[in-house]
Amino acid sequence: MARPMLAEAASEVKMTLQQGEAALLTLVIPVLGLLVFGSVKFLPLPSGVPSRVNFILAGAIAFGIMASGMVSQSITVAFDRNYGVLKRLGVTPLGRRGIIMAKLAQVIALELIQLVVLVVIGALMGYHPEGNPLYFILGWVLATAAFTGLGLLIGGTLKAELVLGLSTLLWLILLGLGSMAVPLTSLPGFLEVIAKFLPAAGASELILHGLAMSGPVPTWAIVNLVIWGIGTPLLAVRLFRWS
Amino acid sequence: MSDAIEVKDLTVTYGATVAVDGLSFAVGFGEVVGLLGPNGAGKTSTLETIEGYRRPTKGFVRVLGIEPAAKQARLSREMGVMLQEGGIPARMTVKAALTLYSRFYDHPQSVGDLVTQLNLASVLKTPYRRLSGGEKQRLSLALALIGRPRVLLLDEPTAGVDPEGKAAIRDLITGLRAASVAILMTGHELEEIDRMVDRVLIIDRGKERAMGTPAELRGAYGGEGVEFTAFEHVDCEMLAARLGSSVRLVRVDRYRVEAEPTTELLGRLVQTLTDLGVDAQDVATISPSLEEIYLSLISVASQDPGPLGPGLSHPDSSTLGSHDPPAGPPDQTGPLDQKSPDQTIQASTEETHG
Repeated sequence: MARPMLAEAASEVKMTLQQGEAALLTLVIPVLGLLVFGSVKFLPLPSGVPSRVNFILAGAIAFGIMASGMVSQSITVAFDRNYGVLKRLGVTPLGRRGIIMAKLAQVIALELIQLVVLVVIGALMGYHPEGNPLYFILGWVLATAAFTGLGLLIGGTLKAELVLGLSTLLWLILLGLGSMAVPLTSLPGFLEVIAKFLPAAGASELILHGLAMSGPVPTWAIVNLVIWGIGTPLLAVRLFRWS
Repeated sequence: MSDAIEVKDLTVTYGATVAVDGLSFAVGFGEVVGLLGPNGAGKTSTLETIEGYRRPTKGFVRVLGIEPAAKQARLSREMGVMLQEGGIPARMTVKAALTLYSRFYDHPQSVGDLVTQLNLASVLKTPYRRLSGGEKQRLSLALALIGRPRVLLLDEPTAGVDPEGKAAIRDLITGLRAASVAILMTGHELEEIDRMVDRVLIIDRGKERAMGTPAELRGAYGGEGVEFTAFEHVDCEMLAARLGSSVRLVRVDRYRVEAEPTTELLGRLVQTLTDLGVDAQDVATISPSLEEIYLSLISVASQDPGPLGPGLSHPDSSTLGSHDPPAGPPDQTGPLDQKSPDQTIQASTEETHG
């Protein structure tokens, strides 16, 4: 299954980068977010973060994972289902398991491209590495699982036209409540509580403490992301529909 | 292993709806079988079960001796599938699709050969969404063939294809038949089907209505005969008595003798008409088209589920029209949710990747 899976993953990455809106979603918008929010002075910073660029870089990486794993995947999967693409691929040696593996490989490949581009731009803006890389790896893996699971769940269960609007809306909500541009502590009390139950904030916290900030990760962030990182893929596996 | 595809007492239900109801047939190597029926007859459910997307509610399906739903991945290396429509990302070019699919197989057909065979050279760089209906069909067929399948499932292969494209597809199928590929195809273009298939299976409401070669169906259907024009009155009863076949007026001055149009019948007819002093003109043999047979069978199925005549395979006509759920095991699970045509990722965990 490895060769068909890699061929499919490579084809999907190529198509994503060739498609204007997909490249915009997964690469251009996170980069713009880093450039804009990393430069403005009026937004608050969480305590203990060495610089604004460090904080925003971590947020931009989490934002990019959401874009690749959740928004891009949900839209692609929904339209692939709609047009019979998944059904067609499912009867080739790639198989249904191969399709899912290829989707995951595609997300990881896109995230690696994002990571390199964002870290290089962040370094040019004054980013200094801090924190525990293990937190970053844990956060990156769990966030990828959580958001790809969400993408497959949304794209694999809802109609394509609905997915387009819903996943974009969800992306914006999670951006606002995800401690990506604005720290959780700056949100109104009830929103801060809600945010701590959402995967975006958990991902941001782990990535922040892994790349850009010293000190231990809050327990809630780890618990949050472990639950989302295991829960959404399982739910997607259970509810996904192929056509 | 005698048959490439074996379907035995296949029943597929979605909740209380019976999509396929006790269907049995087989497709041998080097044989082309046409699966015909109106929309909702159960063709897609049958094909999807053979493809491995569905587990039978009752009965069984074997392809190359393998149960498709249990070992779809293993079977996919030897089975080519052409979907009714779509199946390729809108922005993917013809070349990219062919190249991608060729990488799925260990010993794929040459992309160049397929491009030539199916006349796709001029659209290699064209995205799928900009292809004409016929070009889409030809690309879809190319993708089904690229893995050198031993079994081929074609869902409406000639729909929307221009006459040249149809001829190319016919030639291709002739070549595949000669190469011992087993082919099961569906379609609504019955003239094309008639030209390509060895046998026809007509189903309606999930049940078999008839099965046989087109010639057998024509013979069994009873629509063959000899027609002639006579401007003077012909006593049909007397003529029928002399010929030993029924005779009826089909138009104001046109008569039909309903019997196999043999040379012997023609000779007797001409002689009898001469004896009766009838000046017969435009004597012609009549052979019903597959479409006429099909429409007749489907029409009969909707009105009278009774037997259709000698020679026709018609095992369960007495219950035709019954939509009672079969007595299959209610707890049976498979790669698909039995209450819905949709599939779940969960099913993929049941695959066996050999």
